[in-house]
Amino acid sequence: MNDTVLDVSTAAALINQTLDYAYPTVTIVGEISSFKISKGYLVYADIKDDMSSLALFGTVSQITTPIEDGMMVELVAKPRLHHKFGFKLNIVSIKPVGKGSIKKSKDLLREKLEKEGLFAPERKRYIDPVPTSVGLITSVDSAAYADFTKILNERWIEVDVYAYDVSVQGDKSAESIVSALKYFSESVSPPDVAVVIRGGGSEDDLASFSDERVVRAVSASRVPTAVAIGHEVDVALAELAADMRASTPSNAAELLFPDKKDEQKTLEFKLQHLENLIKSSVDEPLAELKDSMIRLEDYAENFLVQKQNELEMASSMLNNFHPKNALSRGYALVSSGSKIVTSASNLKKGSELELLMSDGQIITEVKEVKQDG
Amino acid sequence: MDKSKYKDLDEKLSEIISRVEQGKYEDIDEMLKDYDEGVKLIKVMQDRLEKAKNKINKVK
Repeated sequence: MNDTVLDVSTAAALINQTLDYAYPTVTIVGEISSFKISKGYLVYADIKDDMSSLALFGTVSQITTPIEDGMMVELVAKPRLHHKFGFKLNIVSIKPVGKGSIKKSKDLLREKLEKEGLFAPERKRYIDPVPTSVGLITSVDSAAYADFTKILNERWIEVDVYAYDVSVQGDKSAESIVSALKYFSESVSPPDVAVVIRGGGSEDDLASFSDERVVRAVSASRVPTAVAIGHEVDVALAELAADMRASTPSNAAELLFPDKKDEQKTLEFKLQHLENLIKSSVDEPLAELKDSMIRLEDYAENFLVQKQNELEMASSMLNNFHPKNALSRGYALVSSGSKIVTSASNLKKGSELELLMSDGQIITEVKEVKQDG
Repeated sequence: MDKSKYKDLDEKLSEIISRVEQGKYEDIDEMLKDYDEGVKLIKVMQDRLEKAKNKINKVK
């Protein structure tokens, strides 16, 4: 091939065309140095190893996790020859790699978000103690999904679960979790709680749950959030931003839903309580009624006794005045014809008299009439 | 059968218990009516706890 004489701009364009064709993107692992942000949005840095150093260029929107000098990163970039600034690697994505760098990046992000108040206890919202609808964000093929639904079905009833299938690890994971949170946040009938769950994994597997976009989406969710990532050693930042945190997906179901068995006991208690209340409410009027009855009976009895006594007294008095009583004392009832004789002046010699004694009658005749005075 | 959600039944039951606890009734029949309703609700809720299920919908 003959050497062609080109002007500088054409040469730069030609080289970029070749780079585009041969290396549309490159993935490089190396250490970051000279990291700086200019004008608030332009990112400059170098990526290096023991032998070489390459310049990077990008914008802050491409940096989804804190980066600083000394960190090992995995860089995806487009090689470019800038007509003025020379060769650069234009950042597509960049993420820390290696335990130390991931931890460092996470610590920096945690510090930043903490300052913004994303983890503040006063931001935590109330979660309905008996949710009736749940937006479940996880991989529906995962053990986490199976564990959560199993515990839910064992514990509680009548919950509408809306499962949003997401990638829980890898490059697209953070994006899909953010989309799911947004979906439930913007829903016309949002669920009572959005639950983000994942089983355990390595620091790298769980990286999306400490991704700034995910943490901010959890914090900004209109629906109260619960996050449960099944790991024991470290805490994902999304858990700190959530309104409720659980140690595992099963634990999330345990914390979110009441237990049927406890509820059954509570119902039995309420039934007993209701019965006791009614019993005590009815007991008092019943006792009053009983008391009134006793008093009424006493009154009636006294009244009868009193009337009985009165009758006996009257009877006794009547007996005392009965003529027979006088007859038994020796008096006689004198009659003539059918008339009682009460005066000697009504009689004359020869009148027939009937003398009624206590034990019989005497018929006699008047021999003489003597009047007193 | 009452189609209200369990939670709504529970709220209704709490209201009844609260009324019976306060005991501000005009006459005892009203209180007994509340008592009957409360007992019925408890039976319905116990039945629900035994038989009702959850519904899982896959949205995406």
